[in-house]
Amino acid sequence: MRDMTDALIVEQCLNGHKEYYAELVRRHQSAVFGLAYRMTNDRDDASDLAQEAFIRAYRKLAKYDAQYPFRNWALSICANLGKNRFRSILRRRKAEETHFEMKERETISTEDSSRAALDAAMNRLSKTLRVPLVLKHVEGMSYEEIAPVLGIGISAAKMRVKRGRDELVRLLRTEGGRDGESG
Amino acid sequence: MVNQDRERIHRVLDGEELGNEIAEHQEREELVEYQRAINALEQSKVTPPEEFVSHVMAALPDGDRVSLVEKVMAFWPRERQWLAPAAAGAVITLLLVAGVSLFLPSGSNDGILVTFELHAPQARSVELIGSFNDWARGTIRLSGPDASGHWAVTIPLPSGRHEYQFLVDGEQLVVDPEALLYRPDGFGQKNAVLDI
Repeated sequence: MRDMTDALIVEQCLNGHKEYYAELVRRHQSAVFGLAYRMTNDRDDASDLAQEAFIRAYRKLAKYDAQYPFRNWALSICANLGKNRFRSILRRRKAEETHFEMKERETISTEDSSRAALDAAMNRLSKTLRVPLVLKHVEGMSYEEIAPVLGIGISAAKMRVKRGRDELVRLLRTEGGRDGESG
Repeated sequence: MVNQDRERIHRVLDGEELGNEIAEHQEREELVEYQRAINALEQSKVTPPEEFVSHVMAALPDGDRVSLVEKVMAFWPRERQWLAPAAAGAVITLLLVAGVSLFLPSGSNDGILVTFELHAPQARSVELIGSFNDWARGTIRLSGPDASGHWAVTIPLPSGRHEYQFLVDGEQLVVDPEALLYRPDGFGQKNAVLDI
């Protein structure tokens, strides 16, 4: 099964072989979970969101167009789900994290501090900028791939990545991005 | 809006230009700062929980959906002798679709699906007005508010530039605070701008 293309695995699933879907999840869990994590900033919420994205993809499998990478399709489902749902969860988390970060600030080790600063800065970025930044620099996608995932044009994708970088650097400069958060 | 001074830094980061062509000291330092941030981001990949795959598989719906597809696919001609009637059926279907489409408004399903959202927990109604509906009231209503006070609507829009505002409670114009771009509306206010 490991040598099969994503398109062949999808075909097997559509033919009733549900167990093949596990291989698709295995292949793309890292990308989808990674995006979900950056959208929720919480492992449990990210797990729920990524799981929901894979289930949604399975339900819509007959609509999958095999000329596009399955990963990009799954990422686009995850991005849309994360955009339209989980908002209340995020607000609850924000309140919890602000409190948690205040407590943790003094105990965090030096080697973890740059990662913590990055996480805090990313968490402060609006999702409009955060998601394209993750797709570009964590998933290594091209602007041509990012655009259809977000349902926007290529120039808009490029603009969002640039603005995301500008904002990320600005936030890292100011208190390592730890002075609050935004959705 | 991206700072014009940093255009070159972004071109370097996108591999469109070589960093060693940047001579100015401050700009070089900024480039290093950007590269450091992006390196950190690239290395920030998180790993999913070990049991993630099994959780997804356990939560998948029963085979109804897929088996339904399978049943539909079972009608597809698999033997050569079915090809002629199947082709005839396809032609008839195409003719029917073409005939019906003459009576439908053109382009109703064209465009990119875009979701508009506004946080307005106290609002009684929220509408979307913009260049795509000739700023007409009462044509695009947002649903809401949800538990977090958000209103939302998803509509198909053609590629290009669109300007819009929200109309709250039928009288108050609200500019989208989440928009990436704004433009003066000619009446002393501004419109949100969406490029897709």
